[in-house]
Amino acid sequence: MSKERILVLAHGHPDFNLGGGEIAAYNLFKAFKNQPNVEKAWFIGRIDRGNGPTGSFSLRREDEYLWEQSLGNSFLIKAANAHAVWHSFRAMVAALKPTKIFAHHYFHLGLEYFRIIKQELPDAQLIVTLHEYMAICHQQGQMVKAGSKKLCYESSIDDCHRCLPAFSREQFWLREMFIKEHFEFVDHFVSPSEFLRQRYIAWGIDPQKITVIENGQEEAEPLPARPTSSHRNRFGFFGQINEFKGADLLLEAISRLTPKQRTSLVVEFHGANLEHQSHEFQQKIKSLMDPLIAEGCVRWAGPYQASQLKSRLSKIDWVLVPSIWWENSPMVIQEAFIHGRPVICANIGGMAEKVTHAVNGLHFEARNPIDLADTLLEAATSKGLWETLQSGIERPISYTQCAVEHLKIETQNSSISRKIPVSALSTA
Amino acid sequence: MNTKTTVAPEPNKAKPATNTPVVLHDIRSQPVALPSKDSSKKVIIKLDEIEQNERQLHLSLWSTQSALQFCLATSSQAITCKASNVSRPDVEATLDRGSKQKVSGYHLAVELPYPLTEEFYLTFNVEGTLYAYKLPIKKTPGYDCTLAGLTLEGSTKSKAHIDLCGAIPGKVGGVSGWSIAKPGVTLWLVDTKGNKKDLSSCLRYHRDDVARIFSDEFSSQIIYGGFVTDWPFPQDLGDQIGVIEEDAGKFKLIALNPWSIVADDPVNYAKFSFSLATPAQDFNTRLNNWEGDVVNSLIFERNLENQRNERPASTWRFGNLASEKVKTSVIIPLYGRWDFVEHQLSAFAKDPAFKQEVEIVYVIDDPALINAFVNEAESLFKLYQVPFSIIWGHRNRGFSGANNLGVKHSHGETLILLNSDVFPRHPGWAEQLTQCLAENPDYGMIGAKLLFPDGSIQHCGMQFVYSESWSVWLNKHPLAGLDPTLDLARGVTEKPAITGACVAIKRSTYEQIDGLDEGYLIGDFEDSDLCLKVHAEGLKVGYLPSVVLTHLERQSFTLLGDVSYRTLVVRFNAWRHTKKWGKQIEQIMNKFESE
Repeated sequence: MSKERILVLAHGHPDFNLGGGEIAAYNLFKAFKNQPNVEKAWFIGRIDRGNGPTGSFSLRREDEYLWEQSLGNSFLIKAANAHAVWHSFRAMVAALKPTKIFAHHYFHLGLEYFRIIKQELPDAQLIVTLHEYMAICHQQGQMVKAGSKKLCYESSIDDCHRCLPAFSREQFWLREMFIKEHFEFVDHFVSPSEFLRQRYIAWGIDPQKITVIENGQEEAEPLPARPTSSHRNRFGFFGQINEFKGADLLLEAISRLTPKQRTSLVVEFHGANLEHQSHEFQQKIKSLMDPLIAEGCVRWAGPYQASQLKSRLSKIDWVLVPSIWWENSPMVIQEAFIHGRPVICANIGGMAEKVTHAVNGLHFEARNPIDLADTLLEAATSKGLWETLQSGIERPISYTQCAVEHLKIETQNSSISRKIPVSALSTA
Repeated sequence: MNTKTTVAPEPNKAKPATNTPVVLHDIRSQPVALPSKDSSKKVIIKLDEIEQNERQLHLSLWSTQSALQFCLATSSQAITCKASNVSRPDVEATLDRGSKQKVSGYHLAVELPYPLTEEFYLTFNVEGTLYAYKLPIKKTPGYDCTLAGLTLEGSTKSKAHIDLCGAIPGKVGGVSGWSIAKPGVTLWLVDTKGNKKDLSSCLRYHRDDVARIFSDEFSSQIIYGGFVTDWPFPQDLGDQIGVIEEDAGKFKLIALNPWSIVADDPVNYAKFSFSLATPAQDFNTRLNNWEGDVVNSLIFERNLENQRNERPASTWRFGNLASEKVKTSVIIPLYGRWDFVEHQLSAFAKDPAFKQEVEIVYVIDDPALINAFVNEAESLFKLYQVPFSIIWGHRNRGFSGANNLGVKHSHGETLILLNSDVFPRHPGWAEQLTQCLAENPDYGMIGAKLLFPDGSIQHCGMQFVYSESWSVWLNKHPLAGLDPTLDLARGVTEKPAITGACVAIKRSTYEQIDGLDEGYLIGDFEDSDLCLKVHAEGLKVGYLPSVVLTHLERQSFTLLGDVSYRTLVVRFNAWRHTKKWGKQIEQIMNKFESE
């Protein structure tokens, strides 16, 4: 069997963009390089240098390219620089001649490159990892209704138009058709969660063509338990603070506790990007957080570097994931598990799938501050609970295991069954 | 007896009569004998009766001369009289028995022109002498008033207001407003040139606002306050139109407006004219009375003008599809937006026929699209790798004109007219339509099953439905909005008509029937018009249910009372379509209903 030549594409390079998807893609690329049956592996990460989408390629380091590209039409997810797709990118894949292309996103890159890959290399396999619901949902790919922020269960031209009235039903139909026509070039999809997989199956992707592979993690031994003589009552919130991650819900939950109850726990916020949120949202967080900080039960730690995560985790007992949207496979859950910290999360979507209630963490009713408050109190005060859940954690898969899983994907030739139905009634 | 005057020639004579007519003062109170070369054969004539009923004039007279030709003449025009001969034994009996003269009775009917401002003479020719008798015809009252010399003033006996008046200089115009007058008072619309129209003769309708304001002052005269009329008299820049009150021979100018200038083309005229208020239920009367003909003639003139100024279309070709290999040409006009092109190309790209034998011709029908589309076209071709050409004919031609132009620049023996918002749901659709036409020579046109984006039926054939309120035939889409499984048709299925959104027709048929009719305003009914032309050739019209495309047409609704511009355009087109095809439609619908 001849060796594989592998191209990994991502919507950013982790040297510049530290998102979960970028990190997962890059670590997969690094892992591919060490696989015995891989001849060569390359990484292309999109970059924004503030020059606009010049479409130019440049070399970051050996086998790692940067591509100045962005979206020109975020509704249809089209590249801003089409010439760079049909000319420069075509020349790039023609030169590299990859046998397998693992594409980690089309956000910032545009969908068109799927078509170019198949025009140029019809026999190469295109495998696309889905990191959120962007193809299904134009509301930031979150499947949360604009305005009301209600959870969304299914897309349709009527529901989507009601959610985003600026776009007509017809536009949503065109969007779905356009994305599906590009998805027909994909040989196989990877979903980091079964939940997300099911959403895409409901949307029209053939169940045979989509496999769940969890994001890989670095190989590390679990951290020792936080040295303490009292309760396991230190909680940590890690990651972005925005209106979908539930930091405000968490603060509301703490506020619902009595002052006496609050003396029994401490919640740390290791949050980033609050300054980029709307003024109203920043005010909301501040007005909820300030009195709690004054009281001593909330501590604001601020953003952290990847290298600091381990030491920060070592000083807490529980990791909180109170997101109000479905999530897919939040990186923070895998990181908590690799370092031996049970997780308290909302009982929906990818979070509920990754954390098993009463086994390696606790669920609370999503979006319910009272239930979250009760759960915090239960976790902080129940003797032996933390130890039980901590011992229930299974090690997440490593980067290497993840790469091996990806290489195992058997794809049918894409030309056999490419058709993805657009809308339920579309073919009579 | 020999008072001399001049009259216009008889209508069939090119030059004025060279001989001065002999004016007869009285042929009514008693018979008059005309001098003759042969004195023994005097010609006697008598006018028995004159009856004037508005614009109808009836004369009854007799003469000993048979086959006299009568004419009604003024100093500027001559009107032929319709004559019917009657025998007059009563007169013969009273004439001198010895002479045994035959007497010819004549009954003349004439439609008088409006307004009547001149004297009318009855003229006839006896042995080369032209005789004229001044008829006692009532002139249209008020015709000696003009705008000159009058200044605007108020009146207690009448009120009037011109809401809107506009004219294409040198051609036609239209006026709307309201007026009320006490009994015995006449109101005239008068222009700078002295053309006049009695306001009571205009199309009148109830204006609730006017009625409410003036109900105390003018009780019974306020039912039909509103008026609307055409102004068929050519106007110049700077001309005005006013309302003059005539009360016991005295004139008062009670309203005066300058003309708004309307650009000389049918669409601009319609935009102006359809803004002249008319209740929905009266719009058909308006179309029948004048509006239909005015718009028709403006369209006709515009099309002639365009033909004279036609210059070669600009074309851009992408890809190298050899024209001799083309079997089918898909003609797609673009108007208003072109972003659908990418979605169509993305769908066509999945169909190998579009790289081999099916040609795509985009016709730009909107100058606003040229830059954006032509500059993006190369990128679209490089991405989707589907050959296509772009045609720009230097003007907006409408659905019919754009398709006709596209057909001229295409090569296939089969044509598919396709809207830009129609997207195939499966490969092979163009070949299937082409093959179906080839296999069914009794069919002239074959369409497809079209679905709305939600998957429900948009089109599975059209039928004609008569609208009582609009007095026209309308095109309806049966089963629209329903589940496609409810359409039970299998195989090619005959229909009264099919939509133009996707239709296959042989080039030979298209050329034989001169393509799409360019006489509709902006665009409706051109597709059913084409179907009716095909029916007229004795060919069938139908659709192929197995060919499925999605049409992003929005389900539209029109309230019957709607008088928006868009609705009135539909009404004009429906009126024209019904005038052109009403009888044929009735036959076709009878045939389908009896099946």
